[in-house]
Amino acid sequence: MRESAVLFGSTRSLVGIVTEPAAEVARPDAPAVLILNSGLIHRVGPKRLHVRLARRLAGVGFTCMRIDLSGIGDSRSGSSIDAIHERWCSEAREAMRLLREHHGARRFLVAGNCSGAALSYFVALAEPDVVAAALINPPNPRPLRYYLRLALKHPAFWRRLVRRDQWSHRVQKARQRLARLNADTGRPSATARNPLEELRSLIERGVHLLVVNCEWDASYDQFQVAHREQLRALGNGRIHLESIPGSDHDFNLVSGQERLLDVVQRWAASL
Amino acid sequence: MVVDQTGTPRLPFFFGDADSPLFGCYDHPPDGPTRDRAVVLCYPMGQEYIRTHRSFVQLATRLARAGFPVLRFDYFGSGDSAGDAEDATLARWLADVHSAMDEAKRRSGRRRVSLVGLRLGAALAALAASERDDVDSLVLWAPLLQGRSYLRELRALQAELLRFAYVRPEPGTERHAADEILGFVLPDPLREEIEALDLLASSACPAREVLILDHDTSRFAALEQTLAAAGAHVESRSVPDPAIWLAEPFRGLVPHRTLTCIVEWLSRPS
Repeated sequence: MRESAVLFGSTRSLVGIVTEPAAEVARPDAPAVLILNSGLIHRVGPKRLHVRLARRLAGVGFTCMRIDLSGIGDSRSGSSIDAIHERWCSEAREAMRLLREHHGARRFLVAGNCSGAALSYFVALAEPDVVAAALINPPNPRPLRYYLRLALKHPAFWRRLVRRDQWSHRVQKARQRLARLNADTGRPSATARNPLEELRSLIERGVHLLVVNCEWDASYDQFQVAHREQLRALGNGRIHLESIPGSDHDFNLVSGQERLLDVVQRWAASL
Repeated sequence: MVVDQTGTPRLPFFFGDADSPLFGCYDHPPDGPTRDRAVVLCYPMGQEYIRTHRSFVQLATRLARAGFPVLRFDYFGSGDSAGDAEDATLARWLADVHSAMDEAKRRSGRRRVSLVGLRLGAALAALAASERDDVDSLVLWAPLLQGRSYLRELRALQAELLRFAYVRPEPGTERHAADEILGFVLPDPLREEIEALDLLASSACPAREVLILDHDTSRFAALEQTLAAAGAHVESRSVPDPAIWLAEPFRGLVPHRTLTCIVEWLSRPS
């Protein structure tokens, strides 16, 4: 395995780490893996998960690239006037171009956690060379059933509710959510899209999707409970749903991290 | 090295032992170095590293704009550097600080360095500086004084996480979960080394000039005395910034007053 640091993008102001497999395990036919930022966490990922994922996948023959999108980690803030969503999609394309030109990649697997999952999904929709996407805890509105499940099944729900020092935090989070509602990120809004049509187009293109939800993340209720059967039927074997028991959105337990790495590695190896 | 649109060149690279290279990020002053020293930044460990990375990037940018060549680097088994967290030791991390200082001198062509460390990074910076004579100045940002109390603090944070976060250790793994620290393993050798760490026990002078920074530096009076007794000129500054190592990255907190204070202190004429 070999790792190298690269500068890429039109002004070479974006930073990425390429992990190449050792010659004896390299699979030239395998898609190159592009791992996108999770929120504001730099390219090592939450709890260093992206580093470990890239090394795991390189260990079974995949070339991987972890990147910092503009304004995150070591990459500079973008000077483009494009809305942030378009800018980040175009930066993911720049990373794919580097993998094509310097590592002979022809097909791609995009992966991300949280906001990285959302971006991976949009990149998969837009880029015909993307043949697979791993969407980990994709962000979605928290349904009422999520809060009911927490209240009924997790004692931390009540502990947090009565904890006074959490209230200022809650107010701040509510403010941030409001600000996000008003901010124009350029990401197509859910109401302006047709998610079913989008998924159908991906499946018709032959794209494989892995959706991983942590048991205590709100996305679990959406994907593993509310729409599980619908997604299975739609996917026709190409949508793979997995859950990580006992884990939260931030992978705060090492056991959950290990399980995630196993799940993604197994799925990628089966492509 | 490539100059980007902000005018401050930044070079990410790997250095050190080819079998287990360290990741470094080198910020170069836009108009060439105007200072006689390079600056090496020492991160804290574990989740504190993830939480403070953004602030370190900002600090490196500001120092480079002030004319300093700056190197940030990840310890073995952390960040982008080689190795697994399970194999990390304090001795190895101390060697990494030395290696980073040598690399910063080699790249910048400077013969002297300044060190800035936060939390465990501050303790490592102080220990490394005590073992060599090319460190001019040292910034100890909220340094941990004694490993034992630092571990107690980390254990309390982990207990809080297990109580308030939406996690549920699988049956039979509760003990392992209690031994982790905010999603990172803390291997026994590293734990033992940290436990034995005591900055107040050292009689060596780490640098001629030392700055201690925290939101309340009164708790560092003993360290100030120890360093002064060792021959260092010590200055303490209380800066009312939030403890960024406790804030999750999504909040994007950057302690501007603290960063300004560090850049000004390092930039003043010696």
